[in-house]
Amino acid sequence: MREQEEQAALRILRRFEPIVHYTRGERFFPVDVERYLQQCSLWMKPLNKPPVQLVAQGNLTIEELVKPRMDGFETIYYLKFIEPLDLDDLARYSIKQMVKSLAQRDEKDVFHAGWGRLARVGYGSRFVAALFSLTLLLRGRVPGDTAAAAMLTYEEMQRQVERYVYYGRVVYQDGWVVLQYWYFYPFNNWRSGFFGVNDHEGDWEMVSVFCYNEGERATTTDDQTLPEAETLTPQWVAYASHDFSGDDLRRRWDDSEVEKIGNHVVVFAGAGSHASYYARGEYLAEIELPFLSPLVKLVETIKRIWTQTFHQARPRAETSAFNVFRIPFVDYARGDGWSIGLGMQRVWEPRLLSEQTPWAEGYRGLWGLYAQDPISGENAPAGPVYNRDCSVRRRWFDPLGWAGLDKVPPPNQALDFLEQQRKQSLDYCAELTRAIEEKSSELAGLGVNAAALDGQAHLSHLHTQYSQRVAALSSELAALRKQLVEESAKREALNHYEERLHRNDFGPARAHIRRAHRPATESSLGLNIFTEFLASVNIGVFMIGVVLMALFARQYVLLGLAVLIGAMIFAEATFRGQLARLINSLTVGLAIVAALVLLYEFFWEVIVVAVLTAGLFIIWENLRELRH
Amino acid sequence: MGNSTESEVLRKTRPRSVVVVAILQALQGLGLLGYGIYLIHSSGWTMVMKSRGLQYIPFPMFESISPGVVVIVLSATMVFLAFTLFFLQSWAWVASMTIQGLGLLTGLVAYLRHRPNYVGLLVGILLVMFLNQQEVQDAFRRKVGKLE
Repeated sequence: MREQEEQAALRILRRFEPIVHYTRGERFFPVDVERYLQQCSLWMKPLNKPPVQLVAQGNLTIEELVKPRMDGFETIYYLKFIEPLDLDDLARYSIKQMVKSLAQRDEKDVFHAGWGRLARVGYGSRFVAALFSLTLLLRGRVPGDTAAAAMLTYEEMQRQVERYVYYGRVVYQDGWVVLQYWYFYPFNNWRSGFFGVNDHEGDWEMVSVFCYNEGERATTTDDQTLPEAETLTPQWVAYASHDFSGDDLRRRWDDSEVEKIGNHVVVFAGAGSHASYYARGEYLAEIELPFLSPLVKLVETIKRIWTQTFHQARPRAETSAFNVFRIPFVDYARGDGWSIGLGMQRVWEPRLLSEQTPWAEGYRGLWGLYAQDPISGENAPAGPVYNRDCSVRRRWFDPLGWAGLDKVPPPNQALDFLEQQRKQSLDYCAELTRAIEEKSSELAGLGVNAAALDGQAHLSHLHTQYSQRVAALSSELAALRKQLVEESAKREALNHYEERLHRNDFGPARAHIRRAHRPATESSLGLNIFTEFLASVNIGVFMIGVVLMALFARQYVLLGLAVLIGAMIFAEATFRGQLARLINSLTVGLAIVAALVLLYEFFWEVIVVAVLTAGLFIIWENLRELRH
Repeated sequence: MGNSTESEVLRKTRPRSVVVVAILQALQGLGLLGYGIYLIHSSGWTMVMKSRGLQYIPFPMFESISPGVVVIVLSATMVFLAFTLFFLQSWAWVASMTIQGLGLLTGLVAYLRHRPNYVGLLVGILLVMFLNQQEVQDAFRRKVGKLE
């Protein structure tokens, strides 16, 4: 990229660069890859063989990183940011942190899980979540003290030069000017720092702003001369959030959910996870474990049969999507910590990212430790261009499609597209009219023939042929006429849409969103002090109760267990305001058992009654038909 | 709706399935009432009263009449709840579901003790199905139209 173009691209990126609000206690902020690489070693892991170090820490340059390597299929290349601390270092670090927290009491640095972390989900989910935690012992994971070591290294890096970097990319696609802001965090400590799903080294996040050039009627992909920053009008934004993509990710610039300061959108980053959100709050994220997916499918099927076959009531919207076999986690995006961006305590240092950026295009490996976790949650991600399997990320090669915007023309081209569609429709209507006239005349001719042959015994076969052709042509003609009417109606709709476009009316800002990711509120969850208290103590009380019963009242252990479990479930359901739901579930369960009992006791009678009912129903239906 | 009476508004907002559920529950309650009376009668309560009066009340007698009393209380509650269902009281749905749950539990316990009441179980199942109909749940979730 020439220097002039680079300056123009930077001007554009700076004009719309987002402001990111973090949650208290966030330890890692976006860094530049060069400094990160200085702290890394490069490794490869051939299939079924132990890892091999390729370049030691301190010797890794970008040239070394992107050097072509051919170590066979299935070989995974990865960086290793940090060596876990030894016991001395870990103790020193822990004491240092403790002293720091006591001495400074910097509220921006302290995270409190707050109300409702445990009480957000029911017992089933909490039990499955506990199992999930246990699986960390079996599957690969980032070692426990790595987060502490990463914090030390990151703090040292920042002490030398305090810098907050984003990598900006300007892309043209189908008339849109897409601004991608990539953020590289040295570490994701969601699990160890914020009770989340995973920890991993290296973390790439991205925010996109979709603009159009108001000064131009038509910007094509071939015409890639950078426009002046001032002529660009932002129309959409899309924040990357975990692995989501499509329409639900995207918000229109005038959507009230999109907070802005001037031309800068405000992003609320998840604590530790760094996922981006539009609104501050606490988001419930669900993880589905591969081995639990058959159970998830079974529950969904039972729910479908219950509501569709038996016409039973659907659960309320906020509970319908929830499945007990998915593990819920909270992503805290409170925005009450440090902020980076124009006018904030810390400001961005932009760097350009393009197809020519060597480390982006040339390195297909992972940007942190390969923990050999089969679920991938603990493995580091690949860079902005590639997925973990080395394929190119959609958000890189098709930014519009990734945000579901590939079907939406930029506003300055919408009228051109509309005119084109109207012209196509008119041409099609003319074609249809011609075909209708021809077929109409043909049908009339056939009709005359059929009428002439009617009743002529020696020409009956010919009459039959004509009659068949008349019937076929008649239905063909009817279909054509229907198409014509529909096409006219479509053109009328296009005319109305044109009027709206002239008024800059693009319709409701949220019409494209099917399921928006909204933060949970305490009122929506029905949480209160008792719920949180119960959620905190119940498992412990249960375990103590079991031990006491085993010691002092062994003969009543089973009964006692049932009473304990029942009391805990009822108490929590009451405080969560879900008593009605619990009663309904229990009663439905009893009804199902009762139905099975009846089926068991009266199997043949049930079959006989079912057959008799079916027979009577058929007779009734036939008689009704006869009567009409 | 300016001149509507409360009963007219209720009639307009009350789905047919609610009427069915209320009638079924009332019938279930009346059936149980008869069964309860039969249980008390067959427990020998009247004979004890006639022969000994209230001067001496044997405890085993309480044991023998208690199932009948429980059934009668349950049946009276069912009939009462049938009325509240019919008049779309907001709490009637939860109360009916609870009583049906208790009824089914009792029925299943009785089955396990080899004293099955299959008709009671069948009616309970039907009522649970009806109470879970979307239309019925919606009727109790929404606020009944206010009179103007």
